[in-house]
Amino acid sequence: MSATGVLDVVFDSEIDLSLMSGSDNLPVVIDREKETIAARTARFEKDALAFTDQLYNAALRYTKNSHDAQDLVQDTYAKAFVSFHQFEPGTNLKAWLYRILTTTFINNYRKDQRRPQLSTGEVEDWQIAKAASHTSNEGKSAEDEVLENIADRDVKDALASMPEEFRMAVYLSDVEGFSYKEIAEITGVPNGTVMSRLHRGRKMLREALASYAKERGFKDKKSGNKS
Amino acid sequence: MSFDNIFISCEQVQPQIVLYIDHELFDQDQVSAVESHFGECLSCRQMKETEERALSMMRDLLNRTLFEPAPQELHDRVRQQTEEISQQMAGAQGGVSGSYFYSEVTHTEITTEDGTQIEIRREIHREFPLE
Repeated sequence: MSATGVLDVVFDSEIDLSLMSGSDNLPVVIDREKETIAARTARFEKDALAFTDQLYNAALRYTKNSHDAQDLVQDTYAKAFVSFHQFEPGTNLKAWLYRILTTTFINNYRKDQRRPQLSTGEVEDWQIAKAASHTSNEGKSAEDEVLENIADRDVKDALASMPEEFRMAVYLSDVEGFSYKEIAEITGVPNGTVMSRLHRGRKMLREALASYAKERGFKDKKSGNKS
Repeated sequence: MSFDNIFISCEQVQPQIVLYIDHELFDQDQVSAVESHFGECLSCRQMKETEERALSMMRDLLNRTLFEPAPQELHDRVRQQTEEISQQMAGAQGGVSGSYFYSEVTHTEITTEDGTQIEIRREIHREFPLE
């Protein structure tokens, strides 16, 4: 057993940290076997803690409140640090951290609100086609109306009102810029499911935003008439 | 690429429009076929442009409205926790096994109308057992 052998444990068996794929495979010369705890800590603080703001924002969208979001990020970093020797330097650290965040959220932060997960028919091609064609037909003026009338709060509320799996897919893709494959690894579902959730999630979000915008536009008109 | 593959129908192209925009079509022949279809079919091209525009608006809107910097307290907590676990790891190298934990103490001060201050201390220990 090496000097660091005691640390060579699977920290959380629910997260298979070796599954993450690398998107930026740069040559890296860190020998993790020989790295001291102090050096690993410094590397973690420099590389991983740089994502605190981003993880906090994702956590806010997941938990919908700042208190739980902060706890979730803190737990995520505790798990990530304990498992950091398993992370292969030069591979996709951001996706690795998001996978821990997402798994921690699913396992620990929504236990009280057990909700049946959508499972049937999620990956049907016809649904993807339907979602795609629907979003395309929604018209340009509706989109313009959304931009004119929407408030920051509305965007947050619209996202928060969506079922979790759709909210996650849209957030991870359209805010964080992850690919379908990365989202599949982060959320632990097949590629086809990600595709379906993302397309339907976008549609839901557009509809919710359009309805907020309509409401606001109507109110503005009303108050405009009064004055 | 064979000449036949260039021609695909609107029904074949439309489900792929979103994938094309998301850069999720990985087969180069498929990309070429979709692109050459856009070149010839006004209706599908317009559908693609509408979708592209709507998606980019939504992304701009999300990115413009959602971001909130993490509270300084969280940055501090995470740093402190990392140092704590690091020290426990260094201790564990000497042969002591067990679990990692971190603790957290919070002060909450509430000022009421009478000026009374209530202070709540909260101490949390979270354990991360070694398996």
